[in-house]
Amino acid sequence: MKLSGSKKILLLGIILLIIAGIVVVALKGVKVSLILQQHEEINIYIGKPTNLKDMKDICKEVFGNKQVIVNDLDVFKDAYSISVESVTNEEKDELINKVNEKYGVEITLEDISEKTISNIRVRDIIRPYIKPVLISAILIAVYMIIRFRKENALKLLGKIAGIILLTEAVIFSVIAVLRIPLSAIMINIMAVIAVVELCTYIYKLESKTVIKAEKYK
Amino acid sequence: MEKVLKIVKVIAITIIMLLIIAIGFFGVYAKYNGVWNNILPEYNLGMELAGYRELHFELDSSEETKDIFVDENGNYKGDVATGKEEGDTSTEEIATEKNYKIENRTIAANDSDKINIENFEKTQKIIQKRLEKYDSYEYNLRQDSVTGKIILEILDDEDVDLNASIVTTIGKLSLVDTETGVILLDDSNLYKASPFSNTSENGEYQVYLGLEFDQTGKQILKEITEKYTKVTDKDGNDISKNIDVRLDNQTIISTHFQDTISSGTIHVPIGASTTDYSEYLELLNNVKEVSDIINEENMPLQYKVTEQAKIQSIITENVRNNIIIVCAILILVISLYIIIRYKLEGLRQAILNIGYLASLTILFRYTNVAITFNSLIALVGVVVVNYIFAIRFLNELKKVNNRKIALKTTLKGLYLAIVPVVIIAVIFTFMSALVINSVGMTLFWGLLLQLLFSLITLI
Repeated sequence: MKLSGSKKILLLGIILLIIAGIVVVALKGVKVSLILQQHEEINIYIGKPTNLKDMKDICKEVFGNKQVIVNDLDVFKDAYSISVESVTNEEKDELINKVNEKYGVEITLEDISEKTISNIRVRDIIRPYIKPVLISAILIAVYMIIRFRKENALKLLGKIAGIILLTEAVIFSVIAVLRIPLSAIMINIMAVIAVVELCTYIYKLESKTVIKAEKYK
Repeated sequence: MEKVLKIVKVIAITIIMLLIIAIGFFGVYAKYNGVWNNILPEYNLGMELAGYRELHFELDSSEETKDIFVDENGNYKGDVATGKEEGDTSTEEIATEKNYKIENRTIAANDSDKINIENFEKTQKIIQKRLEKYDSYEYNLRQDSVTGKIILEILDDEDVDLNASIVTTIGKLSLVDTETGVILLDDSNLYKASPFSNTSENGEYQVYLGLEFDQTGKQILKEITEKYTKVTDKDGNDISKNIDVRLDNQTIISTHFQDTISSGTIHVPIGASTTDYSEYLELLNNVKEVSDIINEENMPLQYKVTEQAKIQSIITENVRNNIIIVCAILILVISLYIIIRYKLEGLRQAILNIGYLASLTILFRYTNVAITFNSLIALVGVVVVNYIFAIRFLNELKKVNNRKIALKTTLKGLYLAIVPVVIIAVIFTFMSALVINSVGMTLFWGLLLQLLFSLITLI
């Protein structure tokens, strides 16, 4: 298959990106979202109705550039669960001071609880998907072999598998190189892209089949 | 006349669509006890949207010094019953009969040599297997590989305590002499546990835990049922010797046997008989869960609950409202485009598209489709498919000026291209994990409703 100059450059770029992705993953591993990785969880009970946005602003001031997620604890809006990569004693003191200042309360270190939350293994997130994706892939392959039996089935399947794998490898490499945190939503979006590519490919094959049929008419 | 009829049909459909849109997006309100409530069923939300309960478990480090029965190899064969001592006649009799000794030992909940990474892994696998026996399970399980601490994140519903017991229950079944405490038979000879039920002539349901033992267990069970049978003294007082059926240290039932059982299977009645069908179903479900725990491998480590907290979803009401506003603006923009480009037909299609989305929301409420992040992505997918259908149909209609031909061509082209999506919808619907089956059900109902709505374009 002869490629034009610009396509050659594009392919080279893709290959280099994938290699870069492999190197980064080999050296540094995959960066996962805060909720999936091991992190600290601070539960803080303020004792009076407060605002989640205000709490988020306080946490931004205290923890700076660290990944932080703030959730309401229960429905009374007077307690929060703060998930953060790591927390120092100074940051804890600063958090308490800012909360006391903001809400006019007098909470102390004893009023907050801190726990280390272990990671969720990525394989545990992916495990429920393996069986249904495999079964679906097999059935889709069987459908394509039957539907496009007049074409070279292996070549067809090989081509679409290649396109999907290449796209997923590129997306994954971009995520790895840019150190974008991998989350369940990212994995789902990658799956959606694969399905859209597959449907687009089948649509093009169907259009070709229709054009061929009309030619023979 | 035909034209008038067609206009009436179109107006009728438009009115019905507007009604569906109003119901789907705003609900149906009725006054009950002076308060207006939406009478439509609530959405079934997954953990990410409803929030979850975070349960913390630590290894049980408790110890107890007590008298126990041991066999000739020093293996544990039961706790000497409370109130009994070495020297007590019945205790001595059974110890002699079984060739056991009575020793005073300090028993730790977890032996130090069992606290290792292999057992941590094993524990995690067993917990996952137990949780995944549920239909539509959804959980996150975290384990510290150094301390063995476990954190279980599950939906905050009425099953929270049951889910907690999945981690704290070892799953050890034993038949124990009630009087002395010696273990007569345990799950090392158990073939299978399963739930059973029967209905009496007066319509009462009784649930049983069925225990089927292997060949060795069958023989031991026969001996037990011969010995632990109903006995009365000369005054007619019941002096039967009872056995306890225990799960870990909890007694499920204390009973004796009417007849000798040589089949190797016993049916242990659980709870009282009831005529309430929903109560019976709940009990049957609980017994099924207990059977699943018993049939699986025993947990190598004992855990206790140390803490729990309810964590609300990161999707607050504010965030939800903002998302709804953005989606509404997007739909409005697309609808305006369709109306401007395709005029009256475009207006009709735009109303149908919005009606489709509203119908989906009503359908999800009544079919209990779980709303998770995954299913929301699938929902976006089916809405996009619907818009693709609409635009292709309108283009085709412009070309051929015949609704039937335009519909046939559009549907054929679209559905042949999305066969993989149809396959995914069917396969995913039958999976047990909520994150998977919510996608399948969303796609399934979305595509089915889309077909139905496409037929409305013929009118």
